[in-house]
Parts: sequence; C-alpha cells; structure tokens
Amino acid sequence: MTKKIVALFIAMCLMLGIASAFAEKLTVTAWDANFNGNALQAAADDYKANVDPDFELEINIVSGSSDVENDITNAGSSGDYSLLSDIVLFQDRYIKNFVENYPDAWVSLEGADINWDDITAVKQSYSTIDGVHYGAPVDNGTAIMAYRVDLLEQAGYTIEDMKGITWEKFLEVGKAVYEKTGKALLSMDGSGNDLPYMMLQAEGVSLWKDGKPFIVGNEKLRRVVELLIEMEKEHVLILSNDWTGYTNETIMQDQVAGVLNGNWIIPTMTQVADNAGKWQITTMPTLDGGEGYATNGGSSLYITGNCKNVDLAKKFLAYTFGGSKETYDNALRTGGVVTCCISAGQSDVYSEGVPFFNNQPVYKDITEMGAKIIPVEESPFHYVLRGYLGVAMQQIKDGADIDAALEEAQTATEFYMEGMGY
Amino acid sequence: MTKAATIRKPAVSHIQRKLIPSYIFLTIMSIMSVFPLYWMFTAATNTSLEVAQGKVWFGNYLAENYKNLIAQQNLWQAMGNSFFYAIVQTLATLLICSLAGYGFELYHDRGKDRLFAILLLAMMVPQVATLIPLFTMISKMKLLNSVLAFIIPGLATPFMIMMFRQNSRNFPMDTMEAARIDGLSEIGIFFRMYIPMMKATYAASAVIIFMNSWNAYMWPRTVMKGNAVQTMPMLIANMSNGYAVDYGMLMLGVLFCSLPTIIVFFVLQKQFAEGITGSVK
Repeated sequence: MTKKIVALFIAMCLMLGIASAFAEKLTVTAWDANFNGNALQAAADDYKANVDPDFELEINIVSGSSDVENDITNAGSSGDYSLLSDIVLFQDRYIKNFVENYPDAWVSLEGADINWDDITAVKQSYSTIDGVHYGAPVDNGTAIMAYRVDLLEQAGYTIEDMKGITWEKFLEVGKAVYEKTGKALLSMDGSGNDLPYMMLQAEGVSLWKDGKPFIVGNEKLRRVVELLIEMEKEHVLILSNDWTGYTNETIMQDQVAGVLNGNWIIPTMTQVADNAGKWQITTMPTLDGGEGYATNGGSSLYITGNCKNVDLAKKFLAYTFGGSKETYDNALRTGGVVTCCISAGQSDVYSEGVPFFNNQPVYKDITEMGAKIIPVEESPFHYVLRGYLGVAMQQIKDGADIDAALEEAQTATEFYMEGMGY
Repeated sequence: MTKAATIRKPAVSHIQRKLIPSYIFLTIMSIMSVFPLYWMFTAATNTSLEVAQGKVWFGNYLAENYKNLIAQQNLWQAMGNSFFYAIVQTLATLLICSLAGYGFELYHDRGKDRLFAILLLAMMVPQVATLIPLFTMISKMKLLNSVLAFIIPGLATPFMIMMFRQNSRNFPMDTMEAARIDGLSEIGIFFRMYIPMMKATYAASAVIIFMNSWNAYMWPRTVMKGNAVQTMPMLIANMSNGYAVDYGMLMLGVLFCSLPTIIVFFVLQKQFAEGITGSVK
C-alpha cells in the first residue's frame, strides 16, 4: 500500500513537472512596480483572459532602467545571457548601442503582428534600426505643459492665452504671475536640466547632428539658453539643485504655477491632492510662436537572446502593447501609463475627464499631442551632453561668456565620447 | 582638607571651562549623526507628501504605511533572504578567515609573511574593478542566482584575515604547547582552545561580516535576478526609484532594513569593543 502511495506521489510530481514545463510562461524585468509593473500586469491579465488561460508572466522589479542597462552590459561583456529575462524594459535611447555592441543579445520584432502605423512616429524612431523594429512601446513620454489656472487668473490670464505663445510671451506672463502670486511659472532639476532638449525638440531641432554633439553653431539652442537664464533671473524659472528638489520642493511644496515635462510627471503632481481641479494642460510655447510638441523619457520592451519562447514573446507583445485597448485602459487606470498607440488613446477610458485637471480629458489630449511630435536625432550620450550643458548654464548664470561656455560643453562631450571609443 | 579642596576647585572649573567648546562641538555632531535615524523613525509614521514637505515629527500614518508595504512588496521574503544569506556568509567567513589568520600567525615563517603581504595588496583593489571578472568566473562556474554566488567573493577577505592574524598575537603560545603535550591535535587546538579563547574577536568579526553582508547591494544585484532571491537592500532600492515614490512606505522599509543590524550591534556591542582591541579570554 505504501509503495502504491509513493508511486502515485512520484507520478503526480512528474505530471506537475511536465505540466509546468509546458506552461506558457515568460519572464520580464522592469522598474517601478507602481508604474511599469502595473502596466505589465495589465497586459498579462489581458493576454491570459483573452488569448491563453495558461499564460503566466513573471515580473521582476529592479530599481531603475540603469539596473537593466547594467545587466545587459555585464551579460554582454561576459557573453553569458542566462541572467537576462525573456523580455526587458529600458529607456529608449540605448537600444541602438546595445544592438551594435551585442547583436546576438536581441531578437527583433520582425514577424510580430503589430500595426506600426498605429504607433507614434517618435516612439518608433528610438527602437527601429535599419528599418528593423526591436522595441514594443510601453509608455508615452509626450511632454505636457501644465498650468495652475487659478494662479494664471490672478495674474489676468487664462489657459487659452497660453496656447501657441512664444517663449517671450511666456516670460512676460511668468513675470506677472510671480508679481501677483509669488510663484514661478516653471521649474526643473538644475543638475539634469531637460528644458533645452524639450524646447529644441518642439522646434524640430536636435542637440545632435550626424552622431556628434550639436551645441556650437546651434542658434536655436543659444536662444533657448539665453531665454532660460533670463527666466531664472526674473524668478519665472526655479532650477533646483537635484531631482528631489525639483519634485519634492518645487512641485510638491507648491512653489510653481507651471510644470513642463514628460507626462510621467503627473503622479508627482497629483500627490498634492489639495490642488485637484486647479491644473490644466496645453501644448508648450515655441521660440517664434505656435503650438510646440516634445517628448521626454519613455521606455520600450525588448526580447532578449535568452528568451526560450520567442514566438510566445512576440505574440504577447503584439497582442497587448501592440494596441490592445484593454491593456492600455487598465495600464492607465492602475499605473497612470499613457499609451503611444494612437487608436488605444481614443478609448472611452482615455476620453474621460480627469478631476485633478479640471475634468479635462488629459490622457486623450496627450496621445493626440504625441502623434504630432517631430522625431529628431537621438544619441546614447544624451545624458552626458545634458550634464555638460547644465554646467555651462550654471557658468553663464554666474557671468561666463555664453559662447565660451557652450563651446566648453561641446568639447567636454566630444572628449567623453572619444574616451568611450566614439 | 578644606584648603586643598579650595585650591583644587578653580583648577577643575578651568578644565571644565576648556571642555565647553568640545562639548558643544560633540553635541552638534551627535545631533547630526542621530538626526537621520530619528527622521527615519518619524518619516515611517507620516504620509509621502508630509515627508516630502519636510515634516520631522511623528504622524499617525504608520499602520497605513505598513499595510501598503506588505501589499506592494515582498517584505518578509526579502527579510528571510537577507537573514539567510547574511547568516550563511557570517558563519562561513568566520571559519575560513579565522583558520587563515590562525595559520598565518601561529605557524608563521618568512614565506607565509610574504604571502600575507601579497594578500594585503588585494585590499587596495576596488570592488568595482573586480565586478566583471568575478561575474565571468561565477557565470563559468554555473553558480549565477545561487547562494554560493552571493557568498563566494566575501568568503576570504584580506581585512578579516588580517584582523584574526593581528588578534592571534595575543593568543598564548604556552596554552598551545600545553595542549600539544596533553595530546590535542593541531586542528583540535584550533577548535577546542583557539575558538573559545578568541570569542571577542569572533564577535567583533561577526558584527562586521553580518553588517557587510546584510547591506551588500552591488554584488548581489549583479549575480542574483528575480523577486524570489531579492534581499532587503535590493527591495529598498526598488522602492526608492520611480515616477512617484511613496516616501512614508519607503522609510518604513528602511526601518525594517536597519533594525537587524542595529540589534546585532547592540547585542554584541561589548564583545565588539573587546574584539577590536584584541582581547583574549
């Protein structure tokens, strides 16, 4: 009798083992459990409910995109990809370098059933290499220009007055807002200043030209830098010491009447529940007037060379992040993740008014704005250049010559790139 | 008697007066050192917005932060993993490093001294420089994502070997000779004489190894992947980055992460002080 029980137990274990071996399971590594984690869970639930009830997605959360990028570098350097998940999520700017350095670490999305015409051009521009798609989009980094309408009103302006204006006009409004309310109209992390990048992108101009930094001779950049320095002098712009100062002090401690950044800044803004109904968003100003569109941040999912079930990974990504309204609706509800899939952005959930933004359907507006962004040249050295440009701006603010400071930033970036073998 | 007291009194006051600036300096430094710990406790009881707005007094959000922490993170699994890795690492490292230190000091000759000098040179190599080679070694040994991958690089550290070697100088050779005469084997002397007599050194070393192992982040992050093997520092790092960080929940997580090392230190504080100074019982 005992032998029979043991035999039955072994048989059950074997069956369970075989069943689990055939389970439709994928692993994914991402960061930010409440944002990307929830979006991935929404996709997994959607696929499980509507395509394959046996599907399982194991979501491994790490501390940041840089963790995933370091893992790829370690794996690529050692030639051992066994620690990479089937799918990884990282920031959009790095895939070109990774494919160049470790070509066998990636599986392209060729053959995946994704309607690429439905994905915003700017998102695709990051992860398409020589016409081959590698990345499935997750979040949309479209920049929002948000204003505190109550504070604008105190200065005699409305949100409509801010649409399609020049940066000069913005400066003028900013002075009036500061005078009436004591608050700045804009803020940013001074050590990682994203404003020049976004302001230039709205002009269709990049900080890069033919793979090299485009600082010297970039007239629009010069105008942007001059404007930002002027704004800071006039108390229209607060440049914080670091990122925490930007989010925790300027936004969460209510020091500003305006926010310009990728729409992922919304969860930071909504933490101040007392300001519900006081914010609205619109397009950003441009140098010569007209509505500006830009993007900042955002990431995509990539299938790694360690993926054991490439067909399943392609099917999963194509069905969910390729355009499923259910995935994107739930990703928005649970994680605040905004799609860059144009049709998914037209769902009822996206069209709902958001109470925090005075019942404006901000998510629908963001996806529409995202479709209008002009792709510009990008570089994996973006953050290096951003750092040196930030230093240059600090020097200019302290009285240095603008052309000399910008030239120094150009030289420093080129020197860094040379050191990295570029 | 009265006269002597009268003479001494101004001298003591003078010394006390001279000490005032030192006390002021030390008080300020103490406050600066203790404040982060104090803030960790208070922040764990406040909402994220209150922490971000700089509130430094206790709030009433502790239960909510705990509820969120348990619901959103694998806290107990990470605590369990951290305890398991730290305890295994501490026991294994204590055994190996004490054996090495014992050998280097009590059986020393010129060759071993030279070897020890080479070993000390390894202390000069920064950890970051060894990261990729170590990763490649562990990967070739097929040990990635295992407890061995976590502990192997820290099993024999030059600092620990040096600590045992230095403290072994106080180990009385007479005891060793007596044990030999009584018929105890060399390994028997180590286990039955050396270990009991060097208890304080073991305690001090255990505190250092446990703390290093508990707080290890970069190496485990490199060789361990997946939620199932996550340690407390990894969990805290995951919570501290994101588009909207919940600072109240994060600080409660930091509190959970800090408590074991604080408890270990306070429990072994006396032995730690004795061990660092090389006491032998």
